[in-house]
Amino acid sequence: MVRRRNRVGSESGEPSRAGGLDARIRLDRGGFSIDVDLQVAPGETAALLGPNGAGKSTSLAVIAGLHDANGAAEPSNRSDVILAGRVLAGATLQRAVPPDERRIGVVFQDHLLFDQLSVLDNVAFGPRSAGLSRAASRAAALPWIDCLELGDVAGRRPATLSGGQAQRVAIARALACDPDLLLFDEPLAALDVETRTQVRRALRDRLDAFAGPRLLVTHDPADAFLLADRLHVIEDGRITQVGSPDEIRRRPATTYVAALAGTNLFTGIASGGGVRLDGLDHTLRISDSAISGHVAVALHPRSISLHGNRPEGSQRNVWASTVELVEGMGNVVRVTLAAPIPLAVDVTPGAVADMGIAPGSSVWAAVKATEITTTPA
Amino acid sequence: MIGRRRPLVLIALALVAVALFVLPLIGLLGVTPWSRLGALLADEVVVDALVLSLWTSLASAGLCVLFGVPLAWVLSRVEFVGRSFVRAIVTLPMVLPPVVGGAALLFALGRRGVVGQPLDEVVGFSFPFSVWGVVLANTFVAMPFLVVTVEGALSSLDGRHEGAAASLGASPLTVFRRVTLPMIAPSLRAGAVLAWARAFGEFGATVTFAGNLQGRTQTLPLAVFVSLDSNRDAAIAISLLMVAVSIVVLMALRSRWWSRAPIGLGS
Repeated sequence: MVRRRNRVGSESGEPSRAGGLDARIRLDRGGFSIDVDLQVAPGETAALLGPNGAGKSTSLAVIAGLHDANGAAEPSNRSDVILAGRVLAGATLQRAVPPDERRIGVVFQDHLLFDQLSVLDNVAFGPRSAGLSRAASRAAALPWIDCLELGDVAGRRPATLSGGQAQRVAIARALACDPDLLLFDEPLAALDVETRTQVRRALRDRLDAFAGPRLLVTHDPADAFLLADRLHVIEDGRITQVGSPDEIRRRPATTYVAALAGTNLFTGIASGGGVRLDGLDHTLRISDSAISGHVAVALHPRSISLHGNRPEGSQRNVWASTVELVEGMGNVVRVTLAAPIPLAVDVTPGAVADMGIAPGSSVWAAVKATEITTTPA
Repeated sequence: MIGRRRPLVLIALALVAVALFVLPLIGLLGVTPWSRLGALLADEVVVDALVLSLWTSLASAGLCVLFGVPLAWVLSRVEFVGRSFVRAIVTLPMVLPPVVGGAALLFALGRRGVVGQPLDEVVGFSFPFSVWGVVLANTFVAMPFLVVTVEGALSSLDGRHEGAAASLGASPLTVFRRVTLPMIAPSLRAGAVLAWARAFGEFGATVTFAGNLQGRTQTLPLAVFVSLDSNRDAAIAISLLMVAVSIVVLMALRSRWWSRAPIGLGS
């Protein structure tokens, strides 16, 4: 299945972005305007993270070429969208490229599977729409059925699937179209909390397996921080911060970012009441000794205490660290710690003054085992 | 269910409604000449009318689907000036006396009608007094039922599935065929059955526009009307036949189609 693409050579930008997404979203709607620039490189997972009503869904609709939920056309849409060197929308075009010619695989929040078709035929829908026969489109779907471990449910109706299975079908269906971009709309919001952590881990691997650019649109900081390589924070129609999860955690630019980036999130492997954090040379003691295997770990910045000397308390986790950054944020001060665990800690301005906390100073950090949240992942 | 209190007044009123439908049936059964029924129904006039009624009503239902579904789609999805006017015109046959509809058809498509005359002169074909006149009159009165049903379904459809299909590379026509149509299938079937039923029982527009020629344009309702004067027992027998055919078809379709039966893989 080879499709002709009208590529534009010189306008595609720097070579590293050649296969990537370059979107400038400009839109006015009844007093609300969206002005968002997004660049996603091939092999990169970006997240567009923001509260409800910030313009995330509209941005997604503009990139995918879909109308908004009301089905209304957008006369004020002056957006430019370039994907894999191909102009999909912009002033140079007479007419924006319709969604069926954009080669964008969208995984929708509630999956939007076709209930009247079997799982196999859902996945075969794209190849069939590209002109393959029924038999050939099913043959084209089979590798994706295998890849997403859907062989056992291939003959079933979507309505009979679990949330996690339905999401795998939605991903397989999008991938079977050989898209230039994988777009996720609130990928985990439709799942219950327990399934969510399991699916999130699997999703990370699946995202990494896709060679093109990946974009998650989400309001859930956990999704964004754990799945994305790069975060674009959107508030009120504007991008307020762009950076890696770590950069954003360390230097939140707005109070919204500070609040959502505040929770320190890690992944690790639990056993015998401890969690060895992935990529860090440190093990945290936790209160749940029964949990084992892959877990997500959350520490709230206010649950961590800082001390000038080694604290003599009941805390199970005590370690020495170095202050990397100190920033006032209203009535709290956010202290960013360096190795062994990069952490955001919120303390009072008084404590900062008392201990003389400044970038480079040595401190002891302590946190109770009961203050650490672990969920299977 | 057990122990739930049901408002008796609703049940009483519902019983009155049921009586309204059951009593005429009892009346019909009461006067039926059972011993001569077979002979009456075997009459050539009745057999001709039955065959004609069945195939013209089915043909009309088919035409209603062929043209009515696109019309319903346009009314629900395409914004244009005068849409509500078109919608009113389309539903007009539901309120118009069928005789008026038949007369209007005659003025337009009759041998000396606005469209009928040139049609007759150029290709030598005219609708009135032909079986196609029956089909056209049936379609005229029946299609609004299909359009209204299908348009309602299209308007309440969650359009995001169509967007999902488009993002998977499906052209607008493919989206309609493979996503929209299957999603409105229950309403489409219900609308088609309603249209068939309306066409099967059509009298006024047919007799005005297509005439009453035995074997050519005389459908079952027309045969009943003609027989009421000359042969009352025959009229009763044909009426009973219509009731039987209607009940069989409606019940068969209801169990097979109206329920959301699972559809085979790859449908």
